[in-house]
Amino acid sequence: MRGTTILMAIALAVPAAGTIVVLAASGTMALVRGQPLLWPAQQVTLTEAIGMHDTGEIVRQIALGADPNIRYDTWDILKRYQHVSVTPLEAAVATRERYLFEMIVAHGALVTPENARTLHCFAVQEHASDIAAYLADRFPPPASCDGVRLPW
Amino acid sequence: MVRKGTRIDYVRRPYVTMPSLNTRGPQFAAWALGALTAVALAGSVYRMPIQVSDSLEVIQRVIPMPSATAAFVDGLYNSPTMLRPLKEVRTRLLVQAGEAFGGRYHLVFRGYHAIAGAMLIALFVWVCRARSWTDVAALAAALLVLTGMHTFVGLFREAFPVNHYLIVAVSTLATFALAQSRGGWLVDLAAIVLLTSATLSFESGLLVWPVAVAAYAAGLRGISRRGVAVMTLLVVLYAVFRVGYLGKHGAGVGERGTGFGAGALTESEQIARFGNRPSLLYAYNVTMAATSVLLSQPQVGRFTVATAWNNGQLPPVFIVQIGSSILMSLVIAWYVLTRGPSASKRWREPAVLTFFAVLAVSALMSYAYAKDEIMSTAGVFYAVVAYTAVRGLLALRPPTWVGALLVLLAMVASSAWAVRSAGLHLRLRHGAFEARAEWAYILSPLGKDNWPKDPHVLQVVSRMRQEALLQPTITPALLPRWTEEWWGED
Repeated sequence: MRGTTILMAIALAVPAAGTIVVLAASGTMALVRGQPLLWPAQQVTLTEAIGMHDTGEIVRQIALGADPNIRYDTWDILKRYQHVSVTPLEAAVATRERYLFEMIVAHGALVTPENARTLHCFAVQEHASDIAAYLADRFPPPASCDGVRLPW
Repeated sequence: MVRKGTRIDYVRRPYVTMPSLNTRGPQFAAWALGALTAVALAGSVYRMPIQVSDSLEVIQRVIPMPSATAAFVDGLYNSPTMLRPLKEVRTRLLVQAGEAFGGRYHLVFRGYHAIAGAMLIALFVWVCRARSWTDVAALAAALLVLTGMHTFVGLFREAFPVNHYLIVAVSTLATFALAQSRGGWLVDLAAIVLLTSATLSFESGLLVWPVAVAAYAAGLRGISRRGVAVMTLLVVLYAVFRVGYLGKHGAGVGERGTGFGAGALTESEQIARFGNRPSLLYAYNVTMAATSVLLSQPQVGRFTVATAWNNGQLPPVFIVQIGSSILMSLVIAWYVLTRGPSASKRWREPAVLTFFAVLAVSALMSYAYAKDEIMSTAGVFYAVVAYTAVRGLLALRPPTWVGALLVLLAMVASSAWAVRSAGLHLRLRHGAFEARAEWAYILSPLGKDNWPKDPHVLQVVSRMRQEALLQPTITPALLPRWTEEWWGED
């Protein structure tokens, strides 16, 4: 076998075999441990999932016991390079997506006269007019947002 | 056993490169590479939730049916354009298997998909028949071509609930393997069964027939003349049954959107531009479908590279995809246009002739609209012919400077295809994300009116939903930007 043939075979085989081995290791981990080595699922909080419109993750976390009525830390999603602590409903208001708001309510988040005022004022501030209308249909809109403590 | 010195021996091993005295080592290495590729693929495919769109509706429809026969009959009549009765039967059998496993539908549906993928890889290794260490090097590169082709993603990213394009790809490759065999009536019978099952699963299953015909024309006698004749008769009967008896019609202009040039045409735009002369649109779709396999552009009928260029930036994904395809297609072109050591015409070799037959028929099937999945079987045979061409390249005895250039190009091409192959898994992660997201809207507390009325159906869907939603997946928004630049937008 000539040197050129050997070198060409090595040039073809080394990147190929290396890639195949790495991908196989990743696939094995996916089958055995449930998570691949390459591009595994990232850990996110419930409000981060809401901020990224990840409906599957939202329902998954609530199904696994996440409380839709408490605050969660949210990093670099609702506010660029900032930690914010918000409830799932506030996170939904920040996305301005009514379907997310309704989905979280349907999965157990409570809209009460107490938090409706905050949510309404926050929706007005964030220009989430659909969600503001949703809240206005259920609770009288507050006359003023003075003194209401908003997430930001 | 190979009958040495006969025509059959010649066409089976048309281009013997570096014959090894002991072929066990290379054969073991070839199967090991295939097994590793299959495990990699299975890991990504199995972790995808069962799909909702175009899938859950089929599952819900077949559950109340009294028998598999009823599902088959339903598949004969439930569409004016589609004839896919075995799709319904297969779905019903998988649901029943899921119930037999105690409601583990994910295991059954996704396991079936993963196993079918492993079968495709095994058949690929089988038909390549690596017997020397240089063959193994060629096979390693060809496995990357197989899994890195943009058409390959379509075999695994979606399932309806079974991916029928994958069934067609497996059936065609199995038919080619049968054609390479020693033959006999059992082989003929197996080829006929493959044609029947593939065709009744999906229209593209007709591709089994050109594979058998091209392999026979190229000199493979595993499937006998009688077998090919029966298969031809079955294709005619299928056409008569489909069109004459069931009255099903094919797609026409404006039945669905399609890529055109650097953009896309909606249904109404197609009718406005090509309603009076559909042949122009058909010609574009056919030629571009074939081109896409050879050059990785256009994709879904669109020259996405032109759009990127016009936007002022050309991400690496285009350079990797188009560059690797051009390199490999040039190697194939060199191989096809030259003669073998015994002055034989290489274009008449089984792998080459079969590839061109599959490419041509697949392109013709794309006449009405562009869809990468329709070309997926052609993509599989592209990888087979790439293996053959690379083997031929490794057998060259070039001058030193040409050899150095070839070594460099081999390294570049293999690396580029490696990048593409890794991209398959990223796309499958995206697919998993999308499939799981769809389940968030199924059995939603907001729409109880839309829940299935049948308690059995409700139970199955509820269990599937639970299994799907509990699958952890990536969140594409959190992926680094370079993944998009190297593997493209999703």
